[in-house]
Amino acid sequence: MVFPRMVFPKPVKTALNKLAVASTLLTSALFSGLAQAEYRLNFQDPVTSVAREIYDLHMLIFWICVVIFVVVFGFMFYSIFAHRKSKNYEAAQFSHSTKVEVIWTVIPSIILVLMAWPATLVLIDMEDTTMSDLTIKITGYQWKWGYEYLDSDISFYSTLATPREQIDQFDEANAVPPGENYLLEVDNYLVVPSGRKVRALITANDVIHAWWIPAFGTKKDAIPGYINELWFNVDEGKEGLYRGQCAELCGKDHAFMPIVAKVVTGEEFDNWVASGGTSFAADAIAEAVDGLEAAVAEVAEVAEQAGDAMAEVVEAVVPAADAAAPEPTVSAKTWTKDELMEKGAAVYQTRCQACHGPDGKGLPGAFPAIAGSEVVMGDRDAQIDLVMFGKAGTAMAAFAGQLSDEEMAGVLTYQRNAFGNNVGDVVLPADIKAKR
Amino acid sequence: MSDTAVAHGHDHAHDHDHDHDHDHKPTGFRRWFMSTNHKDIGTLYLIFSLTMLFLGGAMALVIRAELFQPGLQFVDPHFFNQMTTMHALIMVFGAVMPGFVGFANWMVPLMVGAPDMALPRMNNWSFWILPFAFSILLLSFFVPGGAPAAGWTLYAPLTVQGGMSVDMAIVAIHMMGISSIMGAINIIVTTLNMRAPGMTLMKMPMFVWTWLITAFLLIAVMPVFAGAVTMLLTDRHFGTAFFNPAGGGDPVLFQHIFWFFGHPEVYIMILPAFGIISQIIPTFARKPLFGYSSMVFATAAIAFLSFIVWAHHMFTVGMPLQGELFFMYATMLISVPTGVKVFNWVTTMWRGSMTFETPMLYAIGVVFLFTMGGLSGLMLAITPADFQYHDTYFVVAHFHYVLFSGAVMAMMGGTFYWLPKWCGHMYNETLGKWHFWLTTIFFNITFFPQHFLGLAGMPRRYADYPIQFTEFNQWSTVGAFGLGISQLLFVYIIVSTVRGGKKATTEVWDNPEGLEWTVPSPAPFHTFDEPPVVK
Amino acid sequence: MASHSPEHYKTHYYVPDSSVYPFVSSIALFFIALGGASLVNGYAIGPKMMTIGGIGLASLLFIWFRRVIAESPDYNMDVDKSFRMGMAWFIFSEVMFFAAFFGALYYLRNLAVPWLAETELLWPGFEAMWPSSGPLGAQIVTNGVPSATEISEATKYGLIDPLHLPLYNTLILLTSSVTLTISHHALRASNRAQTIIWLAITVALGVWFLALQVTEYIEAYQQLGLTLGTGVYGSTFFMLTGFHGFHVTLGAFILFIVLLRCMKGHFTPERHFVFEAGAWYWHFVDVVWVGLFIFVYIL
Ligand code: HEA
Ligand code: HEA
Ligand code: HEC
Ligand code: CUA
Ligand SMILES: [Cu+2]
Repeated sequence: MVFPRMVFPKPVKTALNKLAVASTLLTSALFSGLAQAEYRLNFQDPVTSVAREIYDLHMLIFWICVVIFVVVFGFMFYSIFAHRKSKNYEAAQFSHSTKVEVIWTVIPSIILVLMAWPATLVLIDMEDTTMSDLTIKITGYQWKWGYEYLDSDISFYSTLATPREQIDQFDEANAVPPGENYLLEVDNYLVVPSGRKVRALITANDVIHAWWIPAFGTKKDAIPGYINELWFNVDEGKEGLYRGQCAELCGKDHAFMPIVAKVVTGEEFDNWVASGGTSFAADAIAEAVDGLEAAVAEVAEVAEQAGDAMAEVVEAVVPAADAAAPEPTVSAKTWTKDELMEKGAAVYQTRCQACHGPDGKGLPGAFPAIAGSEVVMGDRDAQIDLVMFGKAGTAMAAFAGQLSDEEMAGVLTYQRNAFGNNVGDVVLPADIKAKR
Repeated sequence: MSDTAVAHGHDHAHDHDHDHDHDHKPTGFRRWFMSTNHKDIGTLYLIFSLTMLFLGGAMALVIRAELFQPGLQFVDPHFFNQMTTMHALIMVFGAVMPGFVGFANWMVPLMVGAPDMALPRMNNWSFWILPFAFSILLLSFFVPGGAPAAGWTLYAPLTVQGGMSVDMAIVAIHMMGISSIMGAINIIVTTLNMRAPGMTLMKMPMFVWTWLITAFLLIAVMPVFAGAVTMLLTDRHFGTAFFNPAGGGDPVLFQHIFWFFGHPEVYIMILPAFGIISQIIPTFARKPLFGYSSMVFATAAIAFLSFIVWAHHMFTVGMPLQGELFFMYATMLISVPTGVKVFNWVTTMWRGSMTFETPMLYAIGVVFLFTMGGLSGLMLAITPADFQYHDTYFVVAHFHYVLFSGAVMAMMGGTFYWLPKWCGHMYNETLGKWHFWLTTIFFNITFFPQHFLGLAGMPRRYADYPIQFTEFNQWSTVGAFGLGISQLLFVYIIVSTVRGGKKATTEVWDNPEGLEWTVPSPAPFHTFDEPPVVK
Repeated sequence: MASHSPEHYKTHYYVPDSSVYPFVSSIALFFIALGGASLVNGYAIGPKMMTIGGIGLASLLFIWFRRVIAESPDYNMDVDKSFRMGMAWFIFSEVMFFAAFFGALYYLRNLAVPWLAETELLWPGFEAMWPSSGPLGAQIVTNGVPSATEISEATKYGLIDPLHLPLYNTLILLTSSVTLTISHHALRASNRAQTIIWLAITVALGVWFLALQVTEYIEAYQQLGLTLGTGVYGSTFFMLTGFHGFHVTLGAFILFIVLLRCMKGHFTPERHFVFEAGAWYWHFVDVVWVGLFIFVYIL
């Protein structure tokens, strides 16, 4: 299902204009039931024992609070209706009573104990990470997650897969409506078995993040330099995809580093590990593309009703969907500078622009500019080393494990020659291979 | 509080003797920039606070506009984060804290029967530092990289990463700290040293009590905040490693120090509100405040507990189990004294003879809505459940219930309550009621749905969100714009009341208690030059 | 009001006439703060702004305090009491400021470093100890002043011997508290010569303390390789001692002004608020030092 967006008038340029538009919308279009996505009022359905315990605890304290609220304000509203001057009610003049003061200190204290007791039990259970069946190290990066299966050799990164075209709605004409799993889709799933106790070691590379999957009942901060632990054990029979998000402000793209866990049966998981952990990678990409295509279809439908206005949009969208489709891997070949530049531009815009900016200008104070950078325009080897192996203690992570030789060569070449850095030379995949 | 009947015959005579002298107000620059008069300085604080409410509110509206639907429509995420950060810094340090200091300046000397604040020139200094501090904070929008974007909590290492604006925020915070500490010292000294004869501590109006304790909290925690941002500054520029694990530091250390300040800070923002409510309710219930001394002790207990609960903001950082349990229990305990206050207010109304002028509507609204926020706070205090609530819109809903419908609405109620005393005119009761209802309704449209958003899993500080959160965000945005527009009515009422209207009597309300109601309306430029005697 | 006579204020609380000092000093603070933020970001304008602001603030405070001194005969005892209370609460705020740094020291030393040592996966081989400069920090080579060759490698640092300069400094400060008290007693006994002499000795001890502290810093930077950047040990060490040193400077300055005023005969045995305020401040600084000596140097 898709969220059909409100149709704005022709491209609105300044934020001011847009605000004006928004206020028009507010007064007119809002309650016409345009938003169709399913909404919920409460926690997602728990699929682990811990999440269930939390859910029950949550409902218990919620109802206690409701009762307290109703009782207290029952008194107040009764008084408001009965004890008013307009009814000629004479004011009493009492001003204290030790007896009631004691009562309403003691009773709340007892209620608190009733709440604290189950809370303590749940907490103790949550903290017990012993006797786990497998351990996964989870690392937060600006702005993606890295997963390492410590019991096998599998490790990979997981990045947002929602296409940029859905996110950027600044320019009406080129925007695509958000798909069903908008902002909740990634390129590589975290794969975990059901019915086994998974222990996660959580840390971060640059700033603090937090790893959260609501249905698992897990949320822990990922803190650079330190390791936090949590565990979950997904019920058997609850296999499927579970989605979460980063829950600690980590800079610009905090909202764009989701978590998707694919829960499989123990057997499937063992096979997956045996196959080196690749067999599901394509699934994720396919899902993203599906989402996009579904979105396109939906738009087409809406467009038909809405008239020509939308047809234009659809045309703009279809190539975007194509572009997001997985590209067949390129085997060894000779690369020209133009090819490298083209490849590099694509890699740059997906992997690097978040920090260094789409136009290579960086973010002053936090991320250096690529345009005019001494590192980029200087010694080629130094640049290759920096991008491949990162710079410890900074947000500049090692990309050697994330990019293929070709991608690496492309993005390095691109930097050397884009944004006015006309160095002129190229970096070849072979140069990268040699350094690995 | 027991009776504060005043022997003011003498007082009036005195006023007449010195009339030539007393109405000699300075004018223009001399009056507004060089003031040593608690009433003028109070007015300056209140105007400043209202300005900041609009500025911070305008930023909130940018946030809400962007969150109207999924996708990025108006601002990029980096600017969104700047808006969130600056919205909160401006509201907390610019709107709420100075607002209450404005009330204290106006009312504390009047209520304790003092001729002025104890240290009048320093009082003016406390005020004037603020506009300059906020100029620096706002100028940070114009440096490379824009304003601070790491949230008002300024967590390292995200702030270690930021640009020059972080340093500007740090120096601005130092200035605000100096201002707050001087202001707090002034209030404490005024209450402890300048009470009229007969005004014993246990006869002081509740508002003065709450401010006395608030001022103590301010002096205790503002320097700690200064220490935290100083370490941040040296980590950023002088190579220290307080928050850098490679050098043996810990990012979480920043959070501990910040929240050691931050939690008492939230009570700094609510205790004076409790004080205002405790003044208003007895007046309109025509009945003395129930349980005065338990109110005083409850306030003190809240202040004490506020020092040992700070880590409830950090349950997810991975503290040892014993730590989590301790902070959970301590936090839950705060409900008891706060509950005592709520019960006392309700009992003050009980069997009173109530009327519902605007200030009373506000007081009832605050008690009702604050309690909702307090109960959601209690839910947050339950550690395992907080793992799910933390950093979601459930928290955002919680703190807007206590901050907007607690602190800000209490200030609005207080304004309607004392405005006739300040300017000598009655406000328009119909408009006042309209303002109350509009504010209350739009407030709830804005923030009630945020509870659902948070429970369903929408993280806070998100510039963009998955589509299942769309509906409630739209409600929230509509409510926010309505809430914002309603505040224009507030300004209109204040301005028109100050400029004219029905003359207010000395007592203003029906037989209210307290020294402030013994001086004429508007309160003369100088009051209590001869201390009144409180029996 | 301006028109009130001094006689009026003998019985009434002194409410000063309107004054431009607060407004102008706020502008000065603005320059200092903005200048500081510019300075740390390498803008050349920064130091200039700070200078302007600093001079402005200093001269304003001078004028302001001179005014207060001129008015002080008009103050009644209530005003005096307000000043005392104000000073006491100000010192409390300073206590809390130091508490933040002591708290940081406690946390880093007793919690953070041991936790890092337990984090084998990220920091293999790092062991908890104090002093420490963290997993990627330098290594301690020795206690006390090492030989130049020992310290030459940039990644190593030495420690300050607590029984050398720091011990002298402790004795100096403790002595200064005693001399200050003697001076105070002399003042109360109307013995002006004694007051001045003992106060002068106190100020001199303060300056001596500062000189030794500077020596210690130079030694730390140049010979021991112990700097602000030497991990958490260097950070906490310099932050705590540095802020303390700054407070000693301020305290010594206050006492110096008090000394000048003593010489001018401003104080009476009954009324000498500034003397007492300065003395409280000095004792406070002294107590903080004892805390430093124990927690930073010895333990
Ligand atoms: C005015 C400000 C104010 C006030 C008064 C409070 C009051 C309380 N707050 Fe709130 N809080 C904030 C402002 C405030 N808070 C802010 C700004 C944040 C977010 C900061 C950020 O991260 O940016 C926050 C966040 C926050 C958290 C962290 C959430 C998270 O990030 O995960 C927690 C957790 O424990 C919490 C708890 C409480 C509690 C228990 C109270 C209690 O004091 C409430 C007590 C009141 C009642 C309970 C209701 C009345 C009582 C009765 C009717 C008696 C009967 C009751 C019982 C027996 C239960 N608050
Ligand atoms: C006292 C404190 C206070 C107050 C009064 C408010 C008031 C409001 N806040 Fe506030 N808010 C905070 C304190 C406060 N907030 C804090 C501490 C945070 C946490 C920040 C962080 O995560 O770091 C926060 C975060 C926060 C968020 C979450 C942002 C995020 O997580 O990304 C949102 C979102 O809806 C929000 C909305 C609002 C709204 C709609 C109001 C409304 O009540 C405002 C009503 C509007 C007005 C009163 C203004 C009227 C203006 C006009 C009519 C326009 C006129 C125009 C000009 C003058 C130019 N706030
Ligand atoms: C999470 C943020 C982030 C991402 C993503 C990122 N970088 Fe960086 N990059 C940094 C930071 C921070 C630095 C500065 C490191 C330092 O302090 O020297 C940096 C530095 C650099 C430099 C040196 C620039 C200079 O002048 O010092 C180059 C070149 C560079 N990055 C290239 C890349 C490439 C290529 C990619 C993508 C494949 C990339 N970066 C992705 C954060 C990032
Ligand atoms: Cu990562 Cu937020
Ligand atoms: Cu708190």
